Amino acid sequence: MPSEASPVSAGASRIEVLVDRFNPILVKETRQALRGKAFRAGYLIVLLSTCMVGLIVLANSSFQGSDDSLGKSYFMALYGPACVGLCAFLPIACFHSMSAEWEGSTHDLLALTELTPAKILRGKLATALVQGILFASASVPFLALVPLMPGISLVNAGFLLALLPIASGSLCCMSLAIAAHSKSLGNRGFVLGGVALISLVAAWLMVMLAGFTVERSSVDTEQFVAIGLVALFVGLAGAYLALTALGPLGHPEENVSTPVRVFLTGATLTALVVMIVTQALVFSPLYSPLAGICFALLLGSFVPFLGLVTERQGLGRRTALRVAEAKTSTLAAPWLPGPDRGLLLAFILGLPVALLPWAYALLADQDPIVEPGISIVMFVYLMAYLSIAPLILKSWCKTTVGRWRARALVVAILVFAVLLPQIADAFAGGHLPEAFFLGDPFHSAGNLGDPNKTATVLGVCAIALFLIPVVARSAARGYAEVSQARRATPKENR
Amino acid sequence: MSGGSQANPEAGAPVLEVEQVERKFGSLTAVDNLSFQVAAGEVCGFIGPNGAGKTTTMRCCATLDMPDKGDVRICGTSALMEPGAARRRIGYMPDSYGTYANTTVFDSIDFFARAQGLRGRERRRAVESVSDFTGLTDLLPKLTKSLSKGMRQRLGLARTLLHDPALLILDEPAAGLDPRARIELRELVGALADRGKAVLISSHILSELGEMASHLLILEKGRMIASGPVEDLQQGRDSAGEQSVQTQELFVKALCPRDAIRRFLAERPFVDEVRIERDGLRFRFGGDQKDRADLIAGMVAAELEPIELSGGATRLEDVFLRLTEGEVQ
Repeated sequence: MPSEASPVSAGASRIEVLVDRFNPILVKETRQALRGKAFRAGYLIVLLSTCMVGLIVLANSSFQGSDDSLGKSYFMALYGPACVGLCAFLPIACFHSMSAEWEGSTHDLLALTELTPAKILRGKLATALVQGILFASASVPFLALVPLMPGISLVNAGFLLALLPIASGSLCCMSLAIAAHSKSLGNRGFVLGGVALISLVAAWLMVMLAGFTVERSSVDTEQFVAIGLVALFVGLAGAYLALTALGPLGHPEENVSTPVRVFLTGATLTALVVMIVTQALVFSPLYSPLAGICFALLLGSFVPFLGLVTERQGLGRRTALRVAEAKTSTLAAPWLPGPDRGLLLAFILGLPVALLPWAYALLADQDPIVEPGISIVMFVYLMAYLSIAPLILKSWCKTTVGRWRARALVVAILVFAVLLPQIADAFAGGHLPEAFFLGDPFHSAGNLGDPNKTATVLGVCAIALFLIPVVARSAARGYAEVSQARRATPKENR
Repeated sequence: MSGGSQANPEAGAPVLEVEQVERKFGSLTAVDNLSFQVAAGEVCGFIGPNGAGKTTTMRCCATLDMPDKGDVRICGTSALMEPGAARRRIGYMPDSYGTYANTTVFDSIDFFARAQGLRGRERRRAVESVSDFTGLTDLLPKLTKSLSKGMRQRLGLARTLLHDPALLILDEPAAGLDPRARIELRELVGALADRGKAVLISSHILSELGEMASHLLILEKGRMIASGPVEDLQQGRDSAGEQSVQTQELFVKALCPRDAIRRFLAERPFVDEVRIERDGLRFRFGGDQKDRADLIAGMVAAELEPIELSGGATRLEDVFLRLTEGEVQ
């Protein structure tokens, strides 16, 4: 019988309308988390440790009288548990959430609903965000006291607090991507161990970074640029990883594997070219770090073109499906185990390549944050490449015009990467090493990098020697797969 | 059934049309040139040994896999060319239960209703309707992990019905169920067919399938080796109405001594392997319906006073064993 809606029921229905707009995965997983023991236990541990540690620091300082470092100790005492909650617990929860779809065979059920892979992924990330906010809420009342404490820069504290959700989000993306690619039950325990290890190391690194930052009276411009870029890189790398997770979640008719496969093939070759060219130039009389980087970037930028030309962008749906059964059984890395070996390769290669410049700076006994030139250039280039290339490939490469547009943008990425030192220098107030000015590209920075070069050169050459035949084989296999698929599919069915 | 908005096709109209579907995994041909139809209101049983290609075919029909050749049409929509539109007409229940941890029955149904794009009142109605139909209303606040297998299957069925699909694909829904749960499942499937749903159902329990399904498809090594109404298959006829099974087992009972009948039968054409049993005689008969009528007329003419001639409908298990090689592929 229709009745006049009471204020309470009107309010409830308004809430229901609001909840209806939320992602169904978010609604379901939040209900699940709040009902589950793991989240409640995790939240309780973070809350109790925050309370206890905060109170102990405060009590300790009140016994010792006025302490100039109270703010630092207090902030660190709160920041540590928050790091564990957001950078260790949440990514592991994300991994469980995604792998549960495979374990319970619920992914098939989701595939037949209106939920797209992107919606599923967004729902899981939104759940992580909600849980993250709940975790953070455990520390907020205590953190509110930080401005009253002596000995800590609020800019530094704000900077670190801003970095935390970026790192946590990125780690959650990583966990979701890895879980999405770990369909087989046999691998999952091993993979979970890896995810847990990475998450714990990341949480520890965040605490270390916080310790480093709070020691300074204020973060200077160079540090902001360097750490900010690293944060951006971490965030975009997370976004890229999330993108790769769409492949296994997609419907069979969706040719989502293409950008991943193209990108991984390209990334493999790029990594190789960058390493070889940079190191080969050491023997050139005109060698300088900038020249090496410019050449490497130039050559490396051609690699996506190879991907665009050789991969299956232009193939029809059925032909494309014939190329590979598994969505991420990429052309790259046939020697690695498992159908998702391409992703593994991206990790194996991507990380050292990204960290190589930092290693150079460390080997040269320089502070990698104070002398960020090479690092910034390499990071930004890789960051742009990692994040933009698959997006372009996915959205633009369906038509000839789109393909040309993609090529133009890849060149723009190169130009941006080369010009970046100038921009970074402008931010840094002219403190970057001279070698990074385009007006003098062959100026030698002298002491930059491994002073003897021998160990690095030998190491990289050894890697290159190992990789050349493998990559060549992968590329040949890719050509063979595509041409075989073309032959096997009648023209009208492509 | 629910808050879904799709009109079901008229009874007898084809809902699922599988046309020359082929699916290969490397060198293995899982489904080989398979064609069949399932009409609205029809329950089609899918039988085959392990590895015969049943699940692969069902996954292709459910748009969860793509055939290498051929096409699958759902209510006239190509699942290959317009998979999104086809999906909205499919309810698929996989062979595993697929429940989420720390979720109540209500949460689980509600989640899938949201995932199907149902909002507000429409969603509430759909949840109520399917819970009522599957008999889960009293169990809505319970955690899914506390449900029995039979109840979990009901939950699985409820989820597939939320968007009121025209086609239901049920992969081994009776596996692991106790007899009562099986009977309940059979009743639910029957009720769905009465409501005009086309149901494609696979099972290893052939007697169960024989009672549930109106049509049967027997698959081996990815190929269809027999199909048609259950009675026809039991009579040894395939979908073309031809006698695919040459002999059938008949039972005769008469007032005269059994030896006299045995002698009579031994002289008749199409009769073989006559065995005397406690109440009468059992024999293999290779003739058609006309020959069977002649046999009865002959017995009457010979004053054998027959009072019963039955059989010919062999058990589904026998049909299955005869048609398949009995190997696990």
